Amino acid sequence: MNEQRETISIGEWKVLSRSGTLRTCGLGSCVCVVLYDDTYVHAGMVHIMLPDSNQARKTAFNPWRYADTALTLLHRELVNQGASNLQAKIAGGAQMFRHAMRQEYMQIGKRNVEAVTLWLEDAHIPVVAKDVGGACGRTVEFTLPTFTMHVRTASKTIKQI
Amino acid sequence: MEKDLLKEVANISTGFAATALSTLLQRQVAMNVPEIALHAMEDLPRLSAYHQEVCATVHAPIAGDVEGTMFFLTSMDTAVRLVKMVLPNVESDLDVHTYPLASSAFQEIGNIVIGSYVTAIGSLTSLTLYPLVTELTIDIGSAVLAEATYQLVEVDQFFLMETSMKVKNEEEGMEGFLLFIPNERAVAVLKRALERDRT
Repeated sequence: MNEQRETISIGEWKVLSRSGTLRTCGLGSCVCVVLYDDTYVHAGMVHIMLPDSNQARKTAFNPWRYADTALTLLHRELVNQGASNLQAKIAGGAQMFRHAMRQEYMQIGKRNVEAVTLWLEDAHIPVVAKDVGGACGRTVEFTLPTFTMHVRTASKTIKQI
Repeated sequence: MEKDLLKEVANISTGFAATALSTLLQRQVAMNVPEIALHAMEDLPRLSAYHQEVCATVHAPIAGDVEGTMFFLTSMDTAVRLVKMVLPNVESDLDVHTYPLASSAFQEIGNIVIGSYVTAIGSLTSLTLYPLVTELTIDIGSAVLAEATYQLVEVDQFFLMETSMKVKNEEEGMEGFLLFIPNERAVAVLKRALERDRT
């Protein structure tokens, strides 16, 4: 069987079962959330950009860009596919720029992490591991069936969580 | 149609930016024909030539009549060599990562390139626009570019105006990328201003 490798970008998501790798790059203030079921060997990754879909000014917005709607959809998708006992690993939510950011998006990384954490708490999904905050961008890979998350930063160090 | 207008704007403003860089470095700088393309927002982190690599990036939100985001981006190697050109008498290792003089010199190069680009757009269109603030970031290219999505929250597609500039007669190419992402309203404003001048 060919090893499945999927790469997602901002506001995108992918679900994987049995074996393979889910990957996202370009993670600055955004947060990457992986929900997985380690008995059923099923995982879904989403790359979230903003904390709250109520901030969307348009009605036809992409729900995968916002923490609340993206997590609701990913959770439903995994449950529909047979997953239960979900756990989470999260990464991202850095502050890339100290100055050059519009006021309303200052601290957006921190707010993204808070929104994701709150949603997961409400859904009783434990956060098993996280690598969040700081000032550096990240590249994230999540591998099945080991459920390991590799987080690479500019300093070339790869953290396994 | 919009693309042609933006191409015209990019040609002139990139010319100004390349001239400014050339004056600063006292070397000839060649520019490539700017590329204008409409992209999906999801493409943004994949766009840069160095999107997987650590890059030196000067980033500036653009404000005024025309709003958008600009990036001046080079490889780490090019960044160090550019800094050596503007600080020829400094002996020490000019690592833009660790040496404050080197990082501010690189930021200044970015400021000048970005500043002359937006000034050129302003004089071409009689509109007012300026960099709000500039910031140097040394990080994975894709992660830096991805931050521009925060001015594109409500849109699905955006125009990217991209040019590369090369310092001539350098054996191993020294290349810098200049990226301008006007927001949706800015594209309309530029279009109106240019059409007004024609009539």
